[in-house]
Amino acid sequence: MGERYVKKNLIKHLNDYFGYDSFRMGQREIIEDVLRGEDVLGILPTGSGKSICYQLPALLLEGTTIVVSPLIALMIDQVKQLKAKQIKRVVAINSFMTPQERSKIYRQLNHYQLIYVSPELLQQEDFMFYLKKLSVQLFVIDEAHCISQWGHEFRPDYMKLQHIIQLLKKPTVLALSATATPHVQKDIITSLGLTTMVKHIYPMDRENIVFLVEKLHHRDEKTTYILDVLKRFEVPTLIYFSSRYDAEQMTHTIMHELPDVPVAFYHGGMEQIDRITVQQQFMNDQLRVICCTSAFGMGIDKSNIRLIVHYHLPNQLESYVQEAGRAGRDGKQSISVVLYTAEDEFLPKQLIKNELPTEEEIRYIFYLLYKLYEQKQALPTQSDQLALLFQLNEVQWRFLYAQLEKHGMIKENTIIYEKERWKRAYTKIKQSTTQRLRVKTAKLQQMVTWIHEKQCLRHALYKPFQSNYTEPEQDCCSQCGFSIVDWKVNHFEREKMSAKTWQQALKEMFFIGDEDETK
Amino acid sequence: MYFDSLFLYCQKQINTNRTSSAIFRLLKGFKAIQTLQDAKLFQVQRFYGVYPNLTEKQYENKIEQLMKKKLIVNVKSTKHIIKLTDTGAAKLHENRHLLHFKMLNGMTYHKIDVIFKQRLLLYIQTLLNAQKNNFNFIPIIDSSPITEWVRTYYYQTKQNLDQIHLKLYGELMHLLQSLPDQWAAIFVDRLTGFQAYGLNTFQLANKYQLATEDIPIIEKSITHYMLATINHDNRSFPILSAFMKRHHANIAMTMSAKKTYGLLKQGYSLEQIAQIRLLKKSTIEDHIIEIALNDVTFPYETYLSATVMNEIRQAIHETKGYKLKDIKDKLHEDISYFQIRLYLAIVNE
Repeated sequence: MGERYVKKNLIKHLNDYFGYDSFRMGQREIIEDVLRGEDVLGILPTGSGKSICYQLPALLLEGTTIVVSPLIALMIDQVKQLKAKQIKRVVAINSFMTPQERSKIYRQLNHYQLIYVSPELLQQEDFMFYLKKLSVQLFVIDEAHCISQWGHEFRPDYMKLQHIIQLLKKPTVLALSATATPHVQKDIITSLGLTTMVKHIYPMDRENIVFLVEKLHHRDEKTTYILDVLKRFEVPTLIYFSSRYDAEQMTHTIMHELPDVPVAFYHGGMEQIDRITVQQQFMNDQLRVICCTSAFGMGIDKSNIRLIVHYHLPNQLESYVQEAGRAGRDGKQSISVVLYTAEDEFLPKQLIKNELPTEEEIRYIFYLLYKLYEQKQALPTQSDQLALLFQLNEVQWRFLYAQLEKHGMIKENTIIYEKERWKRAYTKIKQSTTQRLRVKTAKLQQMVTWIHEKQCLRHALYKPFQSNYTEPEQDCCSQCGFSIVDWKVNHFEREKMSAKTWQQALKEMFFIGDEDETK
Repeated sequence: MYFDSLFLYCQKQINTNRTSSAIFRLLKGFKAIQTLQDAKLFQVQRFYGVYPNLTEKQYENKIEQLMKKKLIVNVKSTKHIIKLTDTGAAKLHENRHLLHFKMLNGMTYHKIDVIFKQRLLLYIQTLLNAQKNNFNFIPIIDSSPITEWVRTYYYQTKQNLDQIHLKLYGELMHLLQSLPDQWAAIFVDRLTGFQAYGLNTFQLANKYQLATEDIPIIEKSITHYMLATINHDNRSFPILSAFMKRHHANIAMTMSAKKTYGLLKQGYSLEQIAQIRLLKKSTIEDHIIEIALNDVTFPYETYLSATVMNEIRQAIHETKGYKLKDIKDKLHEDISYFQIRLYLAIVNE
């Protein structure tokens, strides 16, 4: 089929659908292989436009493209962006939908060119019933590192994808990730059972980002540091926090100390409209600084972010590389600073523990499940009800659910009781939890080791991922002698907000009295 | 101050008759019979559902703050029963003239208010972007019933956008002029136009030096005030009236339709209701249309997905008319007459 999509045409299609004049690194190579029907493993750095690699083929291919994505927010965001580009036959099917909404979509699945699904959904029989009727041409696994136990975001359901691919009569497979070490790459290929996969591995290093680690004595010094940097450099800035509370507090501090700096906070606990406004204000340069949690950033394509600060220690190098990689997408020099104090290792350790159920929690859930079984009750289907019932957070529940399913204790929302099996499962689940905790702790240790690196930070950061990297022409990192006070950067122009009456504001918003608005 | 005084008022009314979570459920607009009865019993219907997004944590923090200020005290610490202190009563008396007490009308406008406000916000964004020929914007509201309505309304009004633009501006100006400047400014600052995204709750609270919880209360008060004013004199507000349509359909529901509605609310499917009531399925479908015409909050999405609505809209557009048979012929055979009629009931009346 591939011959029809000669090179010139691909560019034309890219322009017609997405308005871009040229491909970015790796996109064309991957797309050409995918259209030729090759299974592809694509490792592309964050912000390099991974999604075009399947969105364009999806629009060109006859049948359906399925995209497995681990994050609902990311899926919804992608669909929104596509719809804004007038690409309408796309849908994200997720757990926020009511069963009615879902079954309606199921019945007209063949209407869509591009269907985003969570890995969990592919485990549901009713969905697979409809999916099997489609002619699936391309099966995309986004964030494919989730397949690996050694990936930083292991998702048990990803391990079952090989089976799903078989059920769908082996469509072309495209596995994508921004952060997969060689070890994880091997795991992806093995787990999918596709030994002939064509590998397109692109270096993830960003020579225009300068890396800084600032070791401080106390958290108050972090505040002073941030205020100082924001005063000195008027550039679009993201400050990452591990806690929603701290992100809010810092926002208030900045507002109070630097009233001229337009700042807002962003985290997953806010209402949708409040989140969208912050995100779009930032895109629109109405805001200069955002204090956020890791919830911010997915699907954000702002090219002129100049400064990324990590107030807390990230859990692992992979997430750090992704978050720092949001800086300087336009290729201009940008800075990533990690602020560190000795007590900082405590919080990520706590956070890691919070991602897994404790032994008491596991025991309690076994007890609850048994009680539900005795009362002949099924599990609630809404995840918030489940969280309430079991007093677990979403990450913990997802982990446990996969385990319970794996050991045959539940099937969809029915509980299957068998004494001996439950006993064995209990031991096994405890073991898996401990093992997962070990992996995560090792990841954190890797991060901490990086913080204390005596040699070049750039070298140490990219070493686990690839064999070499581009040396920056100018500044490299704090270990190579760069200090933030030396930073030369153009300040960012912003229209000063003048005090307006609401009458003036409304008038301007509605272009009343605007000369060129006479059509 | 707005949230606090509202809480103190409800607390005064409910007194020690209920635990403190009763006010939480009232403000959130819980559908439980207990909450609805309490609203009536303690005469706080006007505050029913005025803060649907209040979180438990926010609420607990608020209570804690008010206790610290000695405006309320625990009666029995274990049972979460609270009462006003003398200071609290004095504070409430001092704030009794605050505007939100006059404007809020929660029970009457329950859910209609959210629909009205969201349609308005999204339509303004759509209109102002369309006027600048920008169709690639990220909508600030993304719930599908709202986007679907705005899309339909936008296509209906596309021909005379300039006129609507000016009229809408005029109507908003008219309504806002009667409000205190700070409130009008909050309303305007929230709006998203062309290349200017509105402020969010936290930003508004910061700009006007109010508590975060005051902002939703003020915004809700403004919405209720607008709804009441438009309702009272809808001839002066031809454009804004459209945003509350379907609330107005003054066809009284038949007894039989009410019965069907009761069963629907209990979760029975259309087919099951036909069986239970020994009626034809088509009769039940008629009831559903009747319900949709009468109740703006009716969740029609169960029967009409966004895609189906899309297709029906297109078919209507192509046939340039509302003749059922013509529309049906244009559509996939899976889409029923019932769905087309329901679509017409909710969109065009």
